[in-house]
Amino acid sequence: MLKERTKNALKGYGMEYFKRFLKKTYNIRKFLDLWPVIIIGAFVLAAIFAGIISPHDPAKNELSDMFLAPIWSEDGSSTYILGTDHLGRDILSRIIHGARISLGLALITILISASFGSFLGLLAGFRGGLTETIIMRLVDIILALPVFLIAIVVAATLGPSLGNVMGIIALLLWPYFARQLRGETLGLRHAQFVEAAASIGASNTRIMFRHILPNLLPSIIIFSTLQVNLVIVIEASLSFLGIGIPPPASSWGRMVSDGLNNVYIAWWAAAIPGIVISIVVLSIAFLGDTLRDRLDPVLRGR
Amino acid sequence: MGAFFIGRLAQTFVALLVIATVVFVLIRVAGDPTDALLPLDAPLEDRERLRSQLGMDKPLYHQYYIFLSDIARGDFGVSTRQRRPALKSVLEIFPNTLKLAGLSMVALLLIAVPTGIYSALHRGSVSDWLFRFIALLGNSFPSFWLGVVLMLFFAVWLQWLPPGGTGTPLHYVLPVLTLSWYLAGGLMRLVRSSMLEVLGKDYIRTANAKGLSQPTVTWRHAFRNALLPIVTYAGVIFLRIIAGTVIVETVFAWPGIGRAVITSINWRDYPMVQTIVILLGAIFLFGNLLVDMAYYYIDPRLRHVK
Repeated sequence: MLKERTKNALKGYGMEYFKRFLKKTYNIRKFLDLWPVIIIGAFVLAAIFAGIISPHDPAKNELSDMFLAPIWSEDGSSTYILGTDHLGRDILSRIIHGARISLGLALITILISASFGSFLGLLAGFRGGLTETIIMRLVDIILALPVFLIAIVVAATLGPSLGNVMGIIALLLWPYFARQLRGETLGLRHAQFVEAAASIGASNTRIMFRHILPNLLPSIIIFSTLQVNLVIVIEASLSFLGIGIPPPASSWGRMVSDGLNNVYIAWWAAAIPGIVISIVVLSIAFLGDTLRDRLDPVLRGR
Repeated sequence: MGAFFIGRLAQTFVALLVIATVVFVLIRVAGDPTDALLPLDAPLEDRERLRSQLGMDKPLYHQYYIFLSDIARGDFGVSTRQRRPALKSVLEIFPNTLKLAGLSMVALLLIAVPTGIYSALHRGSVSDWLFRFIALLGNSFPSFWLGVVLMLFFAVWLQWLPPGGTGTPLHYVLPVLTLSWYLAGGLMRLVRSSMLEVLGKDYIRTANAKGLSQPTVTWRHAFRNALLPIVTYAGVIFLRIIAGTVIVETVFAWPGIGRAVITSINWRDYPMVQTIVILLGAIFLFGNLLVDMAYYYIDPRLRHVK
């Protein structure tokens, strides 16, 4: 109790004062909300303009230049800013091209599974009855499967390829959207604006897509953002195990596992792509939280 | 209770059937097994003989029937690389995986529960912020990268710990730390939020008003009530640890079934692959069932919802 009282008495001083000072001068919250956007924006730009901005050819082996250290170490080279790997390939260029794979894959798989899953969730929630039972049983079964294990076996037996990885992830991801969207559709099913639309003779299709769907868009966007990380992590993990994106293309996960084979000679070949994965995943996690706070006050704190 | 249980049980078996079917289809799609088992210049008669030995000359529905009934009898085929029953070699290395998973679970509980409670009791403090940041770090790194970072730091740079393999107790440290840190964040957040929720309840204020000591209020009144979601979520976490062993065992060259599934894939040893996948799938599904039932059993309120 005494501690509480002391704390109250000290309010407005010390840390509190410092925080208020920071808030006044820099508006720290705004900055905290903004930094993930800046980082992700940079990676998106790198992915789009990969061909123009990467200093070297990401697939070109330069065996005379292998295991060159990054620029900041003592024996670092200045032509290869982040150093080179075991085949003398430029790590920076490979990271830039890897952004294209990671983010592009995430974008496409999320688009597929979000639209498919949202549609089925909307349908299940709106129609109810047998439609709902069938869709939700299917969702339950897929959600009960050990996702990553299945992904490994599929990728391993069908052979590593971009299309396979994309297909597996989309197949395993849509039920999450369906479950989320069904729940929210159920909540709106008997809202007044839906009944109003029905009473003036709007068709079921029209109610579903013109009245209910727009209300669900914020949560679709938030949910998609949160799932992007799952896609990036699954792709990186599959590539790390050697069953993801096949070799000539540069994948961050693959770079880590390649680098790990020579980790005593060149730690940077494993560490730098790994750090990049962490930065991207963290930024997207923060962005998702920010979006949730901004777009949907109802979801706040969930 | 009965209807709920029967429904969940049926669903579990359907999901298991789905896994078995996926495995069956994939292995047949993956290509002719005689290509992998025989030399390239093997005569056609040899190929035919092997095919009929493997039962590949029968119609597909018949093969499917044989496949399922074999599995039901516990016959998972013979490992093509080790030339002995796949189930036997899988069960031989399974204890390694269980040891790793069990220790990780203990470590995870020892990390997540105390820090979660501390964070709840000192909400907004520097250590609350620090704990949550560390949890977030572990949570948002892919598990393979977390393992690699720990390996780079403790095995390559400091050289305190072995980078992989088994033998001494020291070999456990890095894999266990990776698995538990990776998953501790979720449990820690749950402990924190459910403690915070309970601490805001009227009966805690009553307990405080009665003049009970702070430890009594925290442990006897708050923690016991906060325990319920924690216990059930711990089951889910254990399943995630089992799934996570595939990656962590590969990173640290741990001789368990997670690494065996990857090496068997590389060797095209499909009987091994199907044994491990179905075994892990069954553990996963029945584990989920147990968690659901525990939830239902522990929380009487749930019985009236559905």
